[in-house]
Amino acid sequence: MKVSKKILTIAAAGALTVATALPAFALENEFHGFVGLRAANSNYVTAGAFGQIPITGDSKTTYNWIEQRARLFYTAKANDNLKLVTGFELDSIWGKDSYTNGRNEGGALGADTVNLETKWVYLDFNVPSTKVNVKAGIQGLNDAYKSVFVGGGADAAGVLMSSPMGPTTLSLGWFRLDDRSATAAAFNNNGTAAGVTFSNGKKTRDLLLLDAKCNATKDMTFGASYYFLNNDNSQATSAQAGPLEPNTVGAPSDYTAHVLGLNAAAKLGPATVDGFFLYEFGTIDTYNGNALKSHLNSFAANLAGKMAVGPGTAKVSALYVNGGTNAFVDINNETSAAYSENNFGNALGDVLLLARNPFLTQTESAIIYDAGNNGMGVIGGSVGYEANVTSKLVAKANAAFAAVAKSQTGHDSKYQGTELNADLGYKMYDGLTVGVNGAYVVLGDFYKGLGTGGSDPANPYITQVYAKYVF
Amino acid sequence: MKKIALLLTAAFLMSAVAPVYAQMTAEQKNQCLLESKNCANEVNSIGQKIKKLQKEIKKGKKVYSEEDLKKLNAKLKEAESLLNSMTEGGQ
Repeated sequence: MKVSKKILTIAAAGALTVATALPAFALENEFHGFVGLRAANSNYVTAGAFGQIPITGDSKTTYNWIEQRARLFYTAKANDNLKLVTGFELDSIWGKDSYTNGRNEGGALGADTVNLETKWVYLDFNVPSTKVNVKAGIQGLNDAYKSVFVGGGADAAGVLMSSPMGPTTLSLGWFRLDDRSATAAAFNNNGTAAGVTFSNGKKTRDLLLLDAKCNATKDMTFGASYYFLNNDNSQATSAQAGPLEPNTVGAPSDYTAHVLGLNAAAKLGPATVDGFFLYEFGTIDTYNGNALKSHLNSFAANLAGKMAVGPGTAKVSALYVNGGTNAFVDINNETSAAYSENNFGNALGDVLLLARNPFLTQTESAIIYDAGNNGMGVIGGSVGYEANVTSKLVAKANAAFAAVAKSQTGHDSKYQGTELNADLGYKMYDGLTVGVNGAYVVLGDFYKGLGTGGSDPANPYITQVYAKYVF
Repeated sequence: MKKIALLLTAAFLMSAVAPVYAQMTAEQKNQCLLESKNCANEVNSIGQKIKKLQKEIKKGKKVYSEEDLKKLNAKLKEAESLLNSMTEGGQ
């Protein structure tokens, strides 16, 4: 009896310990996500297309497609100081591919496909006894400049540390963008023997970020940044679109770029104003395998504002990105596909065809695909108005223009076009918005005579019906 | 047996006290948003989470300390950033 008494006592004490300890160790599972559907009609944008819209044919044909995207985010939170963050993506174009494995597939009859994409997998933890937060792993990568340099859906592997210091937050990050280990003979054009295998850790592209953001007052913030991009990956690949301007940064060049930035935002009475200036300098060592040793000297600037007018909000923005022989360095995918990993649409305003925008998923093409405009630079601006027609109905209308920053051979003008667009969104339920929108671009003389047989190409348009659900 | 009875009584009393404490604090501070505690019955969409955080921040220093408010603001920023990342375009 003595033994069983002891056992019972220990068991009771143990049960008590577990019962009281459980809440402290309970893992919190957090799920969030996004589902988007869109059906589109356009005379230039076709299902699954990405990159710069090629405005060269007559383009009087209308193409239509329907696509869907689901993004699922799962966070395993041990406590407020430690969590694992993951994000996945499932994309499909209706009618495209089934019973085959790969991203963006499974939309054809039968559906079955393995098309789960990994977007984020990273650890998020606070360093004990400090205010330093660390995010380590594959995560979203964004600059502090509306994604003109890098961002707009970019994900990369690296470490990002941040810490508040009074009213200022400091961030320090390092990301490995590329580490190539092999090349294909067909694209080996830097003098290296064809088919050679590189050692890992040599043909790399790395990015260092240092950001400071200060909440100077309740209504004013300003920030400063230093970014360092080092590209030792001078080997061309089939994925590279290549800049139009020769001897500029972008694959296949070996370069170092230092980026200095200033940004600010302030509330001035009823208006909110923000803007930034980015200056770049550095050295382009080689271009396409040839020694170059040219100096990089470029910049980008943006100014935007919004103000309550009548029942809604009026918006205005202006943007300049340098081009030509001193083209602005932005970050693009250079090894897997010619995807843009930056976006100037956030700085330009709400557009549907001129630049990348949140409506684009796997079909992702725009007249200006990257902030550097393929080495040509951008002069752009927009005005817009947004209003709640009812508590559930939101209407938007925008006008925007864009031109290349530097004159191009073979083009009558720098002016690329003017976009007019409108959007009507209805909040059906909490989190679910359905809507329609459309955009029409009046092409500028940049495209004059570039249509079939020297004709002028037709003006691009797009109309979309969409549903977006966030939870 | 007396010992066992004593231990079980103590355990019962402690388990009875805990919810009362949680209820009392929940009236003023949202412990789930602030410390990720007592989240068992919380199922929020990202939109609801943002709205709740904004509501708690509005309570200000009457309910929360300056350190609590900083923490809530950081969580609001994180939730808004996640929402932006979810809906942003890109491959």
